[in-house]
Amino acid sequence: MSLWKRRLPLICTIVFGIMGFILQLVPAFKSFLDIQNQWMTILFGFAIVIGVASLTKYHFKKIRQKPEERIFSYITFSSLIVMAVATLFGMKAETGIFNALYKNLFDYVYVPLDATIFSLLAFYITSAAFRAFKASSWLSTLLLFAGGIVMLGRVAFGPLMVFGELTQWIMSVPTVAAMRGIKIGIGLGMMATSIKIILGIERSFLGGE
Amino acid sequence: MEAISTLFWPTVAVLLTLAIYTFLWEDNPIYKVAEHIFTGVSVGYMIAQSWHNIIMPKLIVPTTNYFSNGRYLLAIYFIIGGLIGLLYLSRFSEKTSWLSRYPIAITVGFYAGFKIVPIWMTNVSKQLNATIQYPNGDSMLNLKMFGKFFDNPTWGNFISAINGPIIVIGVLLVLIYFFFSFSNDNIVVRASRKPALVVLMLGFGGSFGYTFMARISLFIGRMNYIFSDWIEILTTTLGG
Repeated sequence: MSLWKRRLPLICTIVFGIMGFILQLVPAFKSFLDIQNQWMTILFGFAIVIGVASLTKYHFKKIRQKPEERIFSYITFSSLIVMAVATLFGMKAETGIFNALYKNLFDYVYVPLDATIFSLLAFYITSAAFRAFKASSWLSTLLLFAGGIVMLGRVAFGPLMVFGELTQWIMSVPTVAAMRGIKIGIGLGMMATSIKIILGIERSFLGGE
Repeated sequence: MEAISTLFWPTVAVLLTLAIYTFLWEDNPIYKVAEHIFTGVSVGYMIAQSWHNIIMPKLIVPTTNYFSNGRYLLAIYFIIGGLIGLLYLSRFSEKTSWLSRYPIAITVGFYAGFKIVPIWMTNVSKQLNATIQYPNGDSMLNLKMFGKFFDNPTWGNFISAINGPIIVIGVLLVLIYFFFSFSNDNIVVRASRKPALVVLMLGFGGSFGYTFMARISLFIGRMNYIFSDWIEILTTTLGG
C-alpha cells in the first residue's frame, strides 16, 4: 500500500473524522467549528470539478468513439461555456449584455428544461407503476389502491372530498409509520457507515488500487 | 425588431419544452439536442454558482480580509484549503488523479464524524420520540382515547383512538421487517412479515401518489406556459 496514494489519504480521513466528531460534541470549540465549516465549504466548492471532469472525459471519449454523435457533445460543451460565462459575468451585474443573457438563459432555457424533464417522469412512473401492478399480487393492489386514492385526494372537490380525507389519513398514518421505520433504519445505517469510515474500515470512497 | 426580441426567448422555451416531450414518442435527435443543452447549461450554471457563492465569499474575500487584519495563520489555513480543493483538478489526468483522494478523504472523513450526532438526533432519537408521543406530549398509546370512543362511539373518535397504535405498531413492524429480513424462523419475525408489507405498501402507495401529482403539476405548469402565457405573448406581439 503506497504511502502517498493510500495511507496518507486514509490518515486524513481518520484525523478529520475524529476532528469533526469532537467539534460537534464540544461546545468550547464553537468558534473553530465555524471556521472549519467555512473551510470545508471551500473543498465542496471545488468538488464541481469532479462533475466537469467526468463530463469532459465522457464527451471526449464519445467524440472519438462515435463520430456520428459528436454534434451532441459539441452542443453540450458550447451550452456549458455560454451559460458559465453568462452566469459568471452576469449574475452579480445589474445591467449589461451578460446580465441580460444570464437572465434569459436562466428563465427561458434552464428553468423550462428542468421543469419539463422532471414532468416527463410523471409518464415514466405511470408506465413503471402499470408494469409493477400487473404483477397483481394483493400487496401490489394495495399499493395501487393507496396511490390511486392519494392521486384522487390531491385534486378532490365536492362529493369526492372523501378521497381528500382518506388521503389525509394515508399520508399521516400508514405513510408516516412506513417512512419513520425506514428513516430510523437509514439513520442507524448511516451512523454505522460513518463509524466504519472514521475507523478506516470502509475505504471504498478512496477508489481502487 | 422589438417584436422579435420580445418573442424570441419565450419561443425558445416553448420549443425546448416540446423537444423534451418528443421523447414520449421515441428517442430522437430533437430530444437529444434539448437534453444536451440542459446538461451543458446545468453544469455551466453550477460552475458559476460555485464561484459566486463559495469560492469568492468563502475563500477569496475572507482570505484577503484575514491578511489585511493581520490574522496570517487563518489566512494561510484558508489558502491551504483552497490548494487542497485545487487537487480536484488532478482528475483531468489519469496519472495524477490519485491526488484528488486528499480532498475526497478530508470531506468524507470530516462529515462522517461531524454528522454522527445530528443523524442520531434527527433520524433516530426524534423519530423514536415522535413514535412514542404526539407533539403535544400525549402518549401515542393513550388508552383514554379508546375510553372516549366507548363513551361516544363515533367514526371520528374511533379513528383518533387507533391512529396512534397503528403508527407505533407500524414502525415496529417495519423495523422488524428490515432488521430481520434474512431467513429467520422466529415466530414473531415470521408473523410480522405480511403486516409489515401491508404498512410498507400503503406507505409506498401514498408516496407514489404524492410524487406523481407533483410531477403532474409540473406538466400542467409547462402546458399552462405554452397554451396560456406564450400564446398571449404571441397574439399581443404579432397582433399589436
